[in-house]
Amino acid sequence: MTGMQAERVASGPVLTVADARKTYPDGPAVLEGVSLAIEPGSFCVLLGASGSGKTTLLRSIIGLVPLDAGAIDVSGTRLTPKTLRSLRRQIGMVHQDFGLSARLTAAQNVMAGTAPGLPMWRLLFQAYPKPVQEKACALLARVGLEAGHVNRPASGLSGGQKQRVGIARALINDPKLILADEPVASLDPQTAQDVMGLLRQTAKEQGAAVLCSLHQINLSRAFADRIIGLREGRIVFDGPPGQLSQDMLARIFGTGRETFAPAMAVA
Amino acid sequence: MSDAGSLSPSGQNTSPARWQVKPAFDWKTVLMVAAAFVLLSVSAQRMELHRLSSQLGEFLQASVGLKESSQIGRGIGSVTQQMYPIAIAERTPVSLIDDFDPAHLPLFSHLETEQVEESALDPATMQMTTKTVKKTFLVEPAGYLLYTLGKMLETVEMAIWASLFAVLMSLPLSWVAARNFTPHPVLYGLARSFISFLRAVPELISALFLVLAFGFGAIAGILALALHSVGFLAKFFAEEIEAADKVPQDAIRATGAGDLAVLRLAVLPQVLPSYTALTFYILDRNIRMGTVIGLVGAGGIGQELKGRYDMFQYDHVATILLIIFLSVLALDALAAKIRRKLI
Ligand SMILES: Nc1ncnc2c1ncn2[C@@H]1O[C@H](COP(=O)(O)OP(=O)(O)O)[C@@H](O)[C@H]1O
Ligand SMILES: [Mg+2]
Repeated sequence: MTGMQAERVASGPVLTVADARKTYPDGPAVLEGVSLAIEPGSFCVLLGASGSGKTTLLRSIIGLVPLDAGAIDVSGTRLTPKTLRSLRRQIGMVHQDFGLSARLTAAQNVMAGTAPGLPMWRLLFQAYPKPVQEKACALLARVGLEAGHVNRPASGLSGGQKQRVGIARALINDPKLILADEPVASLDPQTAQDVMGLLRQTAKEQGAAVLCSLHQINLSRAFADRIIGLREGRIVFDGPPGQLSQDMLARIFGTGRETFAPAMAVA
Repeated sequence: MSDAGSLSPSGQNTSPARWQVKPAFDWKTVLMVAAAFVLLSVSAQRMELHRLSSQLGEFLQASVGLKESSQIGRGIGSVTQQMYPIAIAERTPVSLIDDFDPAHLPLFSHLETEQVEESALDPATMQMTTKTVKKTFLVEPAGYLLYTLGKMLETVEMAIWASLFAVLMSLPLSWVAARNFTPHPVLYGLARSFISFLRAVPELISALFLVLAFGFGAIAGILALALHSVGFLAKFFAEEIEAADKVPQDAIRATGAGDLAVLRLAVLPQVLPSYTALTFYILDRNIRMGTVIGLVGAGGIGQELKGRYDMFQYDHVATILLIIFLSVLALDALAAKIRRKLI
């Protein structure tokens, strides 16, 4: 860890969310007063059932969903319309459906992460500066891709490879905070393990904190430093994986793990 | 939290025996079909469609010999007879050629001399007299064919320029006219109205006015085609932007990039294939419409067609029509080839 990063550690959490509330137009309340603080370098899993509000919370942190009430601070800077763009540049994001442009190559998708700092003509002609190109190649190697993948359109990559590209893109601006929304939801179990391991390892090397939403209990247990349980827009659990007892799981997911109405299943 | 509950809050506890499948067609559909039928019947009266059937019947009877003649046959027959053989050579009286030099004839051409009867008013006797004069013609065997091909090329060039201008104008306009990217709602409204206006004015009408403004020739034609094409392209370009998958857009936006970067990195790669297809469609359309707007003097082969038609030179008209037909066929094949390469 460098001296600069040590300073940030001293200055407090990399992310705080205070009393976040959100109701979509003509829908039920999705976030009902969520507060949390993420320490630098920690790997936190946001665990919750489908529909519990994980995506809404992560998207509100990066300003893609406006909150009805509450405050978000990234490294001590309040998220406002004015600071939005500069804060986004300090956050890496990994998306459930990868969020890649299918017709751009793996390298172009990674380099797209540097778009906000570049003049428009460079984007227009996809002419990225040499250092950006070199960094993109290094990151692609870092996430386990090969030379043959660099200039292949994203549409020609497997699901696991796509998410590796997604992780490389999230890393290209050396973020202190990485948000990952169910990054392995569409991957097979083995690939999911590999990609989660990669996300944790690269983030640790980078000294970046991760807030990663998941619905799989085993993956959360295996990779999290800390688990935050979300249920119907409220935090119902917050602690290390060791404290995630059956009781606590029942609090996060409901009494039975079965989500179909029991009455119908019987009838 | 139960998934069944969130899917259908109102009917979650009814027994499946009381569930009902919605019929694909209901009485509303029947009513609408009936209404459409009534409207079409009214319209058929206004269009005098009954004449269509009687005239076609008469024509068919005439063509199998059951009837002496038909109106359609009389109208078309004389013209089609004069169309054959089509005009391929060019015959020009040498008296009409400036600086004619018999020692230097154009390639593959020769001279023909003919006795022509000419009537003229004799000024002395004030009587019409007929006398025979010798006239020399310059004959270029493929002269008219080549000339027409040149005119067709002019039309194709007009269409290419018009399509190029249209694409260049439509790209920025579609950005303003896409609901999810417009810089301002007022600009969105203005852009949409402007685009609708351009699409509402047919090429033939705008060409009439543009010929007044820019004079006869290709410029008026190019502008007329380009303006209408913008009305078409910008609308569909904008709709492609609106329909593009949001996931990659959010991913780029989450990096802190602005609208233009999102357009370039997440939208353009998605819409490029449809933009290419639309551009080829508009090029194809501009080539066909380019032949039509020539009729009002806006350059190209249409201008030639109109001239020959007005002079009743139907053999020349036939050559022109044949060339248009063959060119559209050839360009179609070419466009299909390019499109396969690009997409
Ligand atoms: N754009 C939206 N408009 C309306 N309702 C939404 C929207 N996005 C999510 N929701 C609703 O909010 C609830 C929480 O969704 P989400 O945040 O996606 O949960 P999760 O990611 O945990 O599955 C769901 O009931 C969902 O239907
Ligand atoms: Mg989600």
